[in-house]
Amino acid sequence: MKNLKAICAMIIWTAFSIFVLYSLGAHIHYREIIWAIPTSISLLIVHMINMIIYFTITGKEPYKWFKAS
Amino acid sequence: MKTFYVNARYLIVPVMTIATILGLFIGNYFAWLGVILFGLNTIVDTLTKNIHLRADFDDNGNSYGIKRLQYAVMYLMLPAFIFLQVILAWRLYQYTSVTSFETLSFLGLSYQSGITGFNLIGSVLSAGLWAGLGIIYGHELSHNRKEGFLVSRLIMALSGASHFTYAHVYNHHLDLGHEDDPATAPRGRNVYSHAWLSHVGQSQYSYDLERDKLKKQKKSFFSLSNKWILGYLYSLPSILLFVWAGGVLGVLSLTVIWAISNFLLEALNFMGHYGLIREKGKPVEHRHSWDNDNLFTSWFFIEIGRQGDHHVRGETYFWELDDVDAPNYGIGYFSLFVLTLFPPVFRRFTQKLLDDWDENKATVAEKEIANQFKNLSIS
Amino acid sequence: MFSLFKKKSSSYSATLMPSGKEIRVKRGENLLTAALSAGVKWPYKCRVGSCGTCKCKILDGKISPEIDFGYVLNFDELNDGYALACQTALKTDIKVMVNLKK
Repeated sequence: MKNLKAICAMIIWTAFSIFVLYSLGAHIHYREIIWAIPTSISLLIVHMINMIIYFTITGKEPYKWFKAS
Repeated sequence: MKTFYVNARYLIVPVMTIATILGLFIGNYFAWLGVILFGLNTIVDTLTKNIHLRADFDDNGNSYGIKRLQYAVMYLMLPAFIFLQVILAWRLYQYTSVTSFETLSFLGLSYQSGITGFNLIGSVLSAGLWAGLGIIYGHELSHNRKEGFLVSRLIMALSGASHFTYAHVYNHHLDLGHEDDPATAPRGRNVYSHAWLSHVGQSQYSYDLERDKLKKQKKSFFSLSNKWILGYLYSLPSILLFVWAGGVLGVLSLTVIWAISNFLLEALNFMGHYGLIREKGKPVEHRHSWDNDNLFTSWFFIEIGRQGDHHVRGETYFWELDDVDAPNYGIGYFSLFVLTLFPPVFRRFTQKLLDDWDENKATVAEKEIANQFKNLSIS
Repeated sequence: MFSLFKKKSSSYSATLMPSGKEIRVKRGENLLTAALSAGVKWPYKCRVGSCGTCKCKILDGKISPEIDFGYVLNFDELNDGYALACQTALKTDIKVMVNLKK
């Protein structure tokens, strides 16, 4: 359950971030280095926050070999 | 002659990586060379499954491995894998710039300028597969020298997995065979879910390690002393390269490369310890790891398949690792990898092996844990 | 990697306290491996620098850590000169305190 919640949260966060980058025109100006650098940093941050979202929501639960009933 | 043989046999990956790079450079259908080589390796691995060699030592007990040579090769794999990404980025640039097709020459080598969508797919797959195989050097270098540790981090960063170096040493080697190790796959898990859980679990371990360390040092989490953050920053050049070269397509390509390479990395973790159990706090023994050490797997994967010896003698150079009568799948990594892709087939294949382990190698406490899996109809 | 031009010894001596036993440690070899090869029952577990079982105190001489000890040893131990034997190479002859009864 927590796994599903986390993945949903990650999808929402990623979709929102892509929407913001798309709205700013990052997908058009990528060849200009002044756009490419912040776009890359943004994507990296999106990825790292996705990881944190997953850690925070699921904790150790997915790794338990025997789920508590 | 023996010295040459012992050292040259571990050059399969460097040679094939260079071939893959050349394939991407030459272009056209050669872009698929990396994929074809991966397939051929699977066939050779299967054909050599019954050829099994021991580690080579001379009469004085000295290894034939030349440490400086092997380390030089490992360090040189970093620029090789960087170049692999650069060449792919060049192809992405050509595709998104709609470069016209023509045959050109560079230093006497003919190559096709411009690339079709089909061959671009081949390029991405080839790069992903061989970036994934780069983890064998990331793994080896995480163990032996302090400069090697950094080179390991940088190689893994090319796949967005820089956290591996810390998690592998401080978590996996300490906690393998127990649920505290995300890289150990429990019975019943399939390679697909394991790839995700293991990747994220190891990142989480590194995150927690740094958070706790920086708290003790009264430093901010958001600093360059934070190795979790630094590890991801090491991946920034790759991201920038692909964003600039290919825009959306570049980002998608890098995502595919990271997905493939991390899948291969975690598949190795999956195969290395699947279903084996260790009571927490007890010493790691040979029986807590699976060996895959037929001839081709041994040479290709620079003895990563000798997990049994490696986990007991973690400081040992790969060319000195030996058969220690650890549990053995009896087939090579490539062949086994194919089985893992079909979870019911893999589970049927490992059923007897695990039953044998439970019967003959498990302690009383480990058997109890194994029985808990059986009670859940997982074996 | 950058000290290529310094002349280095091929091995160093490590004097184990409190017993005073002396062992030879080859250049590039780690202290734990050398001790075990010399028949010393040095306590160990992981051999990769993650468990702390092989920790010892460097009383004299210079060592080269192969890994960051800070993830296993605490502040006081680091300040007191403790090291993880499985990840310690020698730069000079050393004197080291180790609890072999662990």
